[in-house]
Amino acid sequence: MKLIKGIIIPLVIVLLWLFGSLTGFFNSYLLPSPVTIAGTMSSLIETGVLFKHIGISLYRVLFGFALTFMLAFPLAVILGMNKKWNDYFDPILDFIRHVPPLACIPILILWFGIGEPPKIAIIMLATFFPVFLNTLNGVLGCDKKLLEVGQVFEFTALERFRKIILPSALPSIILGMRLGLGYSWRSLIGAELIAASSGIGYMIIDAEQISRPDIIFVGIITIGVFGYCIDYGFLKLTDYFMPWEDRQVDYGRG
Amino acid sequence: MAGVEIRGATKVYYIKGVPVHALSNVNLSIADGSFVTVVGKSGCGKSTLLRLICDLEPLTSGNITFTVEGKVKSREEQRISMVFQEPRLMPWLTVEQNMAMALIHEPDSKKVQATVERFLSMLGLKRFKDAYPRQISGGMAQRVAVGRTLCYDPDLILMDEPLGALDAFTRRNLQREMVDIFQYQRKTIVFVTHDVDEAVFLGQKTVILDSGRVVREVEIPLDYPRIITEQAFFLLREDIMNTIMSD
Repeated sequence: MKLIKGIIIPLVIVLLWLFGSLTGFFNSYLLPSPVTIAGTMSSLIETGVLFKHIGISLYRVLFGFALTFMLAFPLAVILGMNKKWNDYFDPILDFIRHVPPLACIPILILWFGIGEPPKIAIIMLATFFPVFLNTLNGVLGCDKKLLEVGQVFEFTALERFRKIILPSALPSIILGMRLGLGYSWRSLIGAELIAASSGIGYMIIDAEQISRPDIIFVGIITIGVFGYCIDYGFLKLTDYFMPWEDRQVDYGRG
Repeated sequence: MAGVEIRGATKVYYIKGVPVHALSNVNLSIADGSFVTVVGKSGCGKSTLLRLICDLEPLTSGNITFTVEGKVKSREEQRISMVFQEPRLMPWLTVEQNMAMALIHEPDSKKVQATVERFLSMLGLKRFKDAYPRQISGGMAQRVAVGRTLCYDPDLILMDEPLGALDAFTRRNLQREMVDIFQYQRKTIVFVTHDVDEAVFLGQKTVILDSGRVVREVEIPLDYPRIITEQAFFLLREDIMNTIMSD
């Protein structure tokens, strides 16, 4: 039922769009009809072009995200468990947090050229803070009363972390990962629009240069669908790893 | 089992730089294998006393020692467990897992299983062993907290108003279970409450605290199970109540 409810609005938009295109209300160059876009998508899938670009973008996102997670997660745990170190890290982290990753593209291109490193660096900049800050909040927000229970039963520091802090912070950590993945996807497309010769972002900017708005729409739809699928996968993972959470799944899913 | 010797225990908190004496020079002996209840008005230092015994907070001055069969032992040599006002169960663990967490240092998993099973049965929680804390009632959750403490097999059990938030019926049932636990397990129990009936129903001795000081210690020479409508119970209750009210 939820699935049906979630489909209604997109369906209405497509129908209105189709109606507008068929009646000539929309300029077919500026807004190609859904039928044209579906045809373009089908031919891009058949020739393998779409999957090539998706594969490259996905690889960049996952690689950049994995690198960031390996950096942000331990740092957040260490700072969360040793609050006195926060004084050293707070100012520099706050400074970096306020710099939009896309503002760093020119200098990253100067340093690394237009190969893979600047794109990975952009993803890392965009993903770091959602993962880091949510993990940090999760660790800092661990209920002191539960920690006292561990103290009563003479838990070691490692046991306290594994048995109390980590499970208690898990919802925040997963939220950070979800947000981080979303941000990395967005920033990557930004980076690919500016400096790339492959990937979905490149496909879009290339389509603009050859005046193919239908391909632009295929790119936009692909990004949205992939973002949705990744998020959905995360929600399912959350359900699997946190059966104790009585969480409502919204947004017309499932 | 373990007895507790508290000598000159003082705890001072600072609120915006102003010292507040939660406990002032408390001297108290809790005999090995006895059931002691502590009563007093809100803010009299009851919970602080337990937290100091459990070493959840440091003493400002004074000392607390433990005695086992007449020998003095340090805190590190004691297994002390505490049941808090709230059940404090881990929301991500089932009832069974919550109880087993007290046995984290027990390498023999069969022994862990057997111990948990034993207390699940004893506390009537067997049917709910796979439930998460949010799926059980407050009374049941508090019973799990008691079960977790019993699994730990402590020498000394500290209870900080564990039944305070429960309805009258559940409360009465759990009070009876406490008496059973004390009689069968023979643990030293220090039980804090603000309910004088409960203090007389449970304890062999009731300690009355006021403003961080021990005002009086009252022996309760009644046999278990106690009947609250009996004259002797009533007189003891009135005596304790009068002492608290007169301060």
